[in-house]
Amino acid sequence: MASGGDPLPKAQRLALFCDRLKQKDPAANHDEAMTLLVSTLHDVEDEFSGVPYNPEEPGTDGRMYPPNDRFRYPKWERPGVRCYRQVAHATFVAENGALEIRARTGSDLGRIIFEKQGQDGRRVSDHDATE
Amino acid sequence: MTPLSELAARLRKTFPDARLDFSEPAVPGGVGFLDISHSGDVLAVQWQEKWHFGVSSPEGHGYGEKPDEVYRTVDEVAARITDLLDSRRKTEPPLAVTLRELRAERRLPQTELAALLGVSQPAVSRLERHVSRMLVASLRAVVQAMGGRLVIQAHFPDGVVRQIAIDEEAAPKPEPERVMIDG
Repeated sequence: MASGGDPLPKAQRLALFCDRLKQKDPAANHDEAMTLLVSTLHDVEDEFSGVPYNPEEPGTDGRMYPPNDRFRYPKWERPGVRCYRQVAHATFVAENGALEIRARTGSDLGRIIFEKQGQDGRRVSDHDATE
Repeated sequence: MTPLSELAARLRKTFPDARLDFSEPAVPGGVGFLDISHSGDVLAVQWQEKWHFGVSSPEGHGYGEKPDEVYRTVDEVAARITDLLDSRRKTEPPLAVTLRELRAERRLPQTELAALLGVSQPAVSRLERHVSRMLVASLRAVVQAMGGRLVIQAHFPDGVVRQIAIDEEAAPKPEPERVMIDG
C-alpha cells in the first residue's frame, strides 16, 4: 500500500475521495468529469484500501470501483445528464462537467453524498431547472 | 426472455407482494438491474452476461463496491433470494475485516474500547495484532464491547454452512495477560 500504513475503512476512504475530488479543478465536460472521478478514486483506493485493482473479479473484494459505460441507467437520466448506477449509489455526470453522487435504497434515490459544479458553475441539479 | 427477466418473473410468483423494479442493460455487455423490496427488506440484483448475477443487501455498501454474492444460474440466484427474503437475513460478503478495521468502522477509539473492556489501551493494541491467538471468549467480549454479537461459522466444500454454538458462560474479562496470549 502506497501509504505504508494500515488500510482505512470504507467510510474514511469515501470521505477522502470526496475531499480530493472537491479540491480538483472543475471539469469542462462529461468526459473530463469521468476521468477526474476515475483517477481520483483509483488513487485513493491504491493508497488506502490495501486491495489490488482487479476488475475481473465479479464479487466484492472490498475495493471501491468507479462506474463506467456498462452501468448506464437511462431511467434516472435527464437531458444533459447521464446516470451510472452501482449497488448502493448512483453517479450523475452532466455535459458541463458537473458531478453528483447519491446513495440509493432499492429503486429510490437517496441523499446526495457528493456534489461538484462544472466549469461553468452549474450543478447537476441545475440541469433539472433549465433543460 | 433474458435471465434477468426470468428471475423477475419467478420472484413475482414466489413473492406477489414484493415490489420489483427491473431494467435490462442499457448498452450491449452492460449491467441490468433488479431491485427487490419485501416486508421492509431490500435486495439489489445486478446481471451481466459475463459475470451473471450479483446480489447485495445495499445498506453499508461502499461506493462502487461490487456485489456481495455472485451466482451463475437463475435457479441458484432465485433460491438464494428466496432464502434471504424468507429468513430476513442480509447477504454475506466473503470478506474478512481485521479487528482494527472493525473497531474503526464502529468509530471506537482504542482508549474507549479499553475502558469498556477494563484493560489498558496498549493491551487493546496488542490484542488487535494477535487475534489468531485469542480465546474465543475474549474475542466475544471484544465484539460485545463494540455492541455486536460474535458468530462462528463452519463452511464445507459441499456448500453446507453451520453455525458453531458458543457456550453462554460469562466471557472472562479480557485482562492483558489473557488478551495477549503470547504474554
